[in-house]
Amino acid sequence: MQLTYSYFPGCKLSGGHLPEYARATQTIMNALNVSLIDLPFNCCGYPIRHQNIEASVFSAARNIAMAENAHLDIMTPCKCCFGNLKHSQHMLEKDSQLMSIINDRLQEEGLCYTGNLEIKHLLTVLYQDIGLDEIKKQITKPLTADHKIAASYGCHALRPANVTNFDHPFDPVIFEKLIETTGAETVFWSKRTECCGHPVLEKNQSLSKALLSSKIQDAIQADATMICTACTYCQIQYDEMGKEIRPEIPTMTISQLFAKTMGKY
Amino acid sequence: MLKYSFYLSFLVFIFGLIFRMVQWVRYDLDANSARQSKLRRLIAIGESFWNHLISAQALIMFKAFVWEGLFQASIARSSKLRWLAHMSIFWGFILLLLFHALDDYISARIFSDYASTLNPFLLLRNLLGAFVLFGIVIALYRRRRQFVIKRISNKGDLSALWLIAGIIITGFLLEAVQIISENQFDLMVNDYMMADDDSEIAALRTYWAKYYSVSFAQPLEMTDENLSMGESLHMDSCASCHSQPHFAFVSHNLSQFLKPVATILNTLNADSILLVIHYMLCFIGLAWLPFGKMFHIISTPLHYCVNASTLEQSRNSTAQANRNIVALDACTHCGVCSQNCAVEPINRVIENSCILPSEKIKAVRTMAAGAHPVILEDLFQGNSVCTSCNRCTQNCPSGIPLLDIWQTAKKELHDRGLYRSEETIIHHTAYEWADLWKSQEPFKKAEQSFQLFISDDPETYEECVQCSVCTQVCPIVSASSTGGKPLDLTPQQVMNLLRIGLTDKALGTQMVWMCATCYMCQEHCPQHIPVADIFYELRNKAHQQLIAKKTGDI
Repeated sequence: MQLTYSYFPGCKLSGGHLPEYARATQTIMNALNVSLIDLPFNCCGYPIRHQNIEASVFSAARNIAMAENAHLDIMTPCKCCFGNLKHSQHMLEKDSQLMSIINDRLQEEGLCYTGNLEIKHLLTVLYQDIGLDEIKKQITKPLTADHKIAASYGCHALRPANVTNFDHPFDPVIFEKLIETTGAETVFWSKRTECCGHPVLEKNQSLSKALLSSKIQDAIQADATMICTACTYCQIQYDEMGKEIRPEIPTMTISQLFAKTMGKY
Repeated sequence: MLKYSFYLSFLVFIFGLIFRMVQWVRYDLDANSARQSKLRRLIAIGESFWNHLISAQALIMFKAFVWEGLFQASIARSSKLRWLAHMSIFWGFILLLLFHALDDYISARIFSDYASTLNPFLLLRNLLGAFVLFGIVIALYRRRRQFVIKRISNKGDLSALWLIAGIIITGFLLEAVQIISENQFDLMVNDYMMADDDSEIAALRTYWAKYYSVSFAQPLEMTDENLSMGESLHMDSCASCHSQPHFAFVSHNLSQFLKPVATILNTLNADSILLVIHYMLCFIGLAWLPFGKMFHIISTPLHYCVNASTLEQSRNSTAQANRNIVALDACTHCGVCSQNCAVEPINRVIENSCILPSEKIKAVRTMAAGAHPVILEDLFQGNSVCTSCNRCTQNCPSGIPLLDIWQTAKKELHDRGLYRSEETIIHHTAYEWADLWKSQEPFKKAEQSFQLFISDDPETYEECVQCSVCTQVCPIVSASSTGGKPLDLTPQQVMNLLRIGLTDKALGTQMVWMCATCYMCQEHCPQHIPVADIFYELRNKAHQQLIAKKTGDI
């Protein structure tokens, strides 16, 4: 049976940032016989959460209600979108008063939120729903073992673990296992579950740079030849700032890595 | 009176046009534009006009004008129904304007035997009027029924639609009343009949009552003899200028409803009254055109042409300054941007209309005109919600580079001293903020929609034993201390402030605002204190305090 999801690219991808990530995600999903449905989604609510939690929850709930309406689970390649959608789902589940306020607003345009669907990150879809074996079958141009890849997890998917339900919050494994299907080796590095620095980029550039820099140093010390991400914001951060810090270590998204090893590039 | 009203409205129209066009040079979108001398910008307009005229660009621009301006291809791309409505209104009205309103100058010169009461003009006029009304009905439906469009539609949008509808409806009514009017009949007989014999006029009356729907107060003798005599008189004097009124299918049907009251309408001189109303509405429309949304008839096609020109895309900052303002004027307030805006739902919770692109562009225009700081504050706050998803630009039927405008505005407002809360907060220490907020008039607490505002609940921190695990795992604490600029407080110290009830003093701490939301603290806390969630709430609260007061007050 063909897997079908409503596809939530997030504002950055739909606005033309990281066009390779957007294209490669579509390509590999196509190759893996997964159907992605576009719905008229709005912002996930992550950026406004600092300012107004209610607006953030409403924004997320509207997306979830639309996907519910279409009877589809949500798949997103962005960990910040994923984290906020999950967080809002969690809040609404716990707070019935908030839920009725949100539903009153949604009702104005004929939508209704029950929260009865799964929100999944791209990695979960690949690991759980598709499975390593299926992916391996598609890898036609495997990498050699001298490729040592550092998986950069992205914190908003990992934590809080009771909300996101993604993997172990400090010792996750799924990203590495997925990378290993390509034939490449993965490295263990202690900062792999830490923040990339993008959330503070606009507030404090030097702090943001320091965070990224310590991550990249750590990956290099662990003998990584490449860093792999699975989050729009992480990738933007590595792209924009990583080049200034250590240009010798390339960064690639998981979709591009798979697209390449599946011979789709 | 009509003549002078026309002169007046035409004068207002011309002055309005000049006024709006001067703004293209007078207004500055950003400091870069403001640096250009106004004279140079004026010259740049002429220069660019001339450059285009003598180059092949004229052809490209002509193509854009025809394709986008006349056929409105961009609207068709965004919505077929809206295209149908807009084309109906636009072409219906323009053709009526040219061949009906200006018939003495256009129709009469092109068609040697033109008469407004002859076919095909009689039929076409009704057809075009019906087209316009059809378009207006769709447009009104859209403005009243579509969720986002309804929210953004204002008096200007609706009155433009009602004005056009009013012109067409009074036109139909006027024609209907004229068809059945005895006064009109008598007037025409006086002017065009050779004979003066009463029996002949009576015969013509019967003929016109039967075949031309004129309603006479006195009863008529409907004999065959009278009718055939009437017919021959009609052939001699009237037929060359009159087709049967049935061809005016809207007005004629309308006139059948009015027949019972025809005598009253006659005594009231309803035809002249309607004529005055019909004309006056047209004059009001003409005078209002440069000042209201209808100015887009001029600015939007111009913007299409400017956009099409590759010559214009060369980065000449003087021409760019003019082009920015033309782009702002090209907005028709159709609302497609807001309909597609990723943060539109946020505006339903945070009531700042400047979150919506269709409203924000108006605020940007007032900024370019030199607006009051309070408007700028709203604009800045609204604009900072934008996630740059670019869907407004991709969907704008007028082809306005909206995202570019938002980014220019963001930079400009920043240069004028407006900062986001994240930036404002580091201007003072947490304790200074606490004092400032205390001195503010009691802050009206927004209605709390959460049971879960956990930071207000002392029980949240009860379990905290100040073990400092949160501080030790915080990447922000470690990065800022190795970077040589340690933060004011650590997470554990903030928790302590909250624990002893000094929430006010925690709101403005750098720790709270520099938090990367990585949830390391919360996940590691042995006492399960939701540290990162509390920080989110504190930022929410501080935000409310910060935007409660406009810039300059703090």
